[in-house]
Amino acid sequence: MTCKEIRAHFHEDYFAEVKRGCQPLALLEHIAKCKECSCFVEEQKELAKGLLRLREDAPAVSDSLDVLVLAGYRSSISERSRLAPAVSPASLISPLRSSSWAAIAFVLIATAAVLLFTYGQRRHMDRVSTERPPVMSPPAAMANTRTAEPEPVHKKANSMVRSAKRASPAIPVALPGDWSSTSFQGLMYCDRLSCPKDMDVIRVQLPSAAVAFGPTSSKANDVVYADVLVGPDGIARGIRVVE
Amino acid sequence: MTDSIESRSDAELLTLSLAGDEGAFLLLYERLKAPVFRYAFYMTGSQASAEEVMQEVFIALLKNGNRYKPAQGDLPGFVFGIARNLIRRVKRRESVMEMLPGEEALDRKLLDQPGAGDPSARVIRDQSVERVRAAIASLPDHYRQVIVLCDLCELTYAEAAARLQCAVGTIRSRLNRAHAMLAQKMRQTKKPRPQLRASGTEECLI
Repeated sequence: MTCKEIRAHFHEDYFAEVKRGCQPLALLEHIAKCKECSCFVEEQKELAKGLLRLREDAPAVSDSLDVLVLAGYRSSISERSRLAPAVSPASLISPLRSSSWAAIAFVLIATAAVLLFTYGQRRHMDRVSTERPPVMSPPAAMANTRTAEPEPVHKKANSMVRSAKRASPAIPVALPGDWSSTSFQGLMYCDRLSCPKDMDVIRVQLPSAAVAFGPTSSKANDVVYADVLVGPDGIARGIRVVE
Repeated sequence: MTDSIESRSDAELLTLSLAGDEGAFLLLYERLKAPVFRYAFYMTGSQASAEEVMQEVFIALLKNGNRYKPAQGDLPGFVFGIARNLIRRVKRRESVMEMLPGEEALDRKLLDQPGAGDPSARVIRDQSVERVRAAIASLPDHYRQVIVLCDLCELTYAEAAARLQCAVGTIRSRLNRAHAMLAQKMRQTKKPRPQLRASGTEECLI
């Protein structure tokens, strides 16, 4: 064994010589002859013994330290769980939450669209119904004049239509069996077959100039009253000038 | 259930611990506490400082455990890295290496062994241990690290290389050099102190 081999031997397994308690014969023969290696081996053996004693003297982990570490773990976990709700705004943007928000928004938009469409349709119907001319509407200039008759003239065309829906403005008149024989003048062709049902009589106020078939007034601005015979279909069938 | 937890790796136990599984944390603590504590004890030389480091290590592990990536190394290496940084901080703060450490632990150890030997043998043993301890404490940090890990914490060269994030060859060369430096320091402490000459003292007194 050479000096280099002895150093390599200690380098490979430092504590082997101390643990074994005996040394190989080649080593003993060499250190008997080499003083430097003898000193080296003695120093290394003493150092190894000291390291082993130091290793044995290491204190064990105390129970109080275990308790402290466990308490630190519990407080850390509880603090983390306490701070978890503070992160909830971020969780609101999670895919599940965002999809539910999108569904709610879609439902709201669809409801608003349906309401707007319904409202538009109603407005359109109202406009169409107001634009439809009344069957026998008096001139607008005459509409504002009050009459002594119970239901004489409607002020506006749409109000006429509305009142016609609400309650029949006509005064049911028991007509004779053959109304054509009365003083009513036919406005369109109407006989028993074409007008089978009872008809209503409406008293209206008309400018005298508009009445070409009744007794004419001397003044052009005078008004006359006329009874209009209205069929169940709302079409005027006949007219009779009263005054 | 216990068997399934015990068969889990350190990284899995860490994940469970971070999720609030106390059993997993206790198992992980049992696996790591002895080597980490011994490392902290030998590096700081004080049981109180080692316990402080131990506490801080596990608190830091719970705080920064999410940063651990198994691809970068095993969990003990990660924990030893935390411990190494904390030990440096403690040493900067307290300069614990200036004092002779571990006396209270040594006394407790000796008291626990009644009749372990005669008092003179105990004193010789204590002196030997203290000389080794002082010699280790006086080593540069990178040599002290390998001595503590390989000789005192009984890690293999590969494990020590993983803890210190260096090559195995570096560990071997540093350990060889550290042994030579320790032997030299112990040789110096064994040198007899120079004796005062009696005649000179007498002459001065006269």
